[in-house]
Amino acid sequence: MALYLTGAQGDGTATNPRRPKYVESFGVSWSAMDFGEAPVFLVSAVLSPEIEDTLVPNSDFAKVPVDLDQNLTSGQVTAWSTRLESLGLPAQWLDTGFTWRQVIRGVLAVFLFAQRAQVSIVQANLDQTFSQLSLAVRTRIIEAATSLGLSSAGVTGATPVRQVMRAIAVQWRNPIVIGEITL
Amino acid sequence: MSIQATDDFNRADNANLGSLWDVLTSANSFAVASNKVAPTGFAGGAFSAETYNGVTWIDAQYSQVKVTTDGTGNGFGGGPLVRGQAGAETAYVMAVSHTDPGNNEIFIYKRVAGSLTTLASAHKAWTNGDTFTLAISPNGDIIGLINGVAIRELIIQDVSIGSGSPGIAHINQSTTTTTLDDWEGGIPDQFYGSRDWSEFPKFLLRKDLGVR
Repeated sequence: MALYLTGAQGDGTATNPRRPKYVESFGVSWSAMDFGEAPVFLVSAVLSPEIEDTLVPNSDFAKVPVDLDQNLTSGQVTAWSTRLESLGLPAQWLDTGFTWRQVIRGVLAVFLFAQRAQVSIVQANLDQTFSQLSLAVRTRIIEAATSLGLSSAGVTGATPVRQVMRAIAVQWRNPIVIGEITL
Repeated sequence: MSIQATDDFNRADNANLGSLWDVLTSANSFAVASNKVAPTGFAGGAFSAETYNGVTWIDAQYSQVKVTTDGTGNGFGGGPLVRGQAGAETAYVMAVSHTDPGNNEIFIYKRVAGSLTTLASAHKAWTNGDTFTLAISPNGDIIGLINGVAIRELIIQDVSIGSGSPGIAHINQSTTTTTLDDWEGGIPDQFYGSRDWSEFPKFLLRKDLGVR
């Protein structure tokens, strides 16, 4: 079983539910977590090497190394920072001191917060400040953090969006489980 | 599991399930027929869903029901729901059908204000009358079980829906017939055991007769 970062498909109707791209077409069982309203999923599945080779060329598909307890290499830091930031996920904090488990846990903590917020804070310019977001979005972010028992005390109008998302997500204390993989 | 409520639907045929059940806003209802219940939405993709209101539910809850259907694959079917919100078309739903080559039979969805997102799917053969359970912890750990056995692919975490009530649901494929029977709702064991909820998925995997 491995983890994959994929795009999303489907319009959210019963006949065409929103779901991760690619995996369903191979008839394999899978579990997935989504990045709130953003078209990004983290999928847990067992895909053959042949299937992985077919999917990896897609720009919206990436495989997480199976050994989650190894540290990122400098090349992986560069590649994954670019990939995650392009998806609206703050990733400037990545460095070779982190294991893949820590990185994916950090990503999924942002996913969980985005699920509760249910607003389009994602795929925004991560460098814009909190005050540049609409009042409705700012309110929803604070409400979502509060409802999850997470503090937003350090967030000011001058705080960059990337810092807001990261600061709230790092407070997630419970293990995150996806398809029997615990992060 | 700590049982909080049951309904065997053994009563006269009726167009609705009675006062203890609420239809989710914008969803179709269920009707009692031959001591079982069946969805009333028959257009392709119609969503039927009801929650049980005879108990004040906490966020940790499970819902289980026996399913019989002639439907096959592709994400349609009926089953239990948790954290259903009667005032909105919002719930976590397990939809079950039979084998269709190339497609999975068991899906876990979240339906938020009418929008459907697939969270997990599993390819598992099963028999009409089998019992399907959907359980959720306070942390949003969601687990699907067949006949009390946790399915590893049906373990997921989602916090989009923070509260609600357990019940039943059906996503319709217009050519199929589905009935649900012997519903039960309650609280997963771990809540009463004062164990750390972070161990909830592993606990179920160990506790409930193994993993399929």
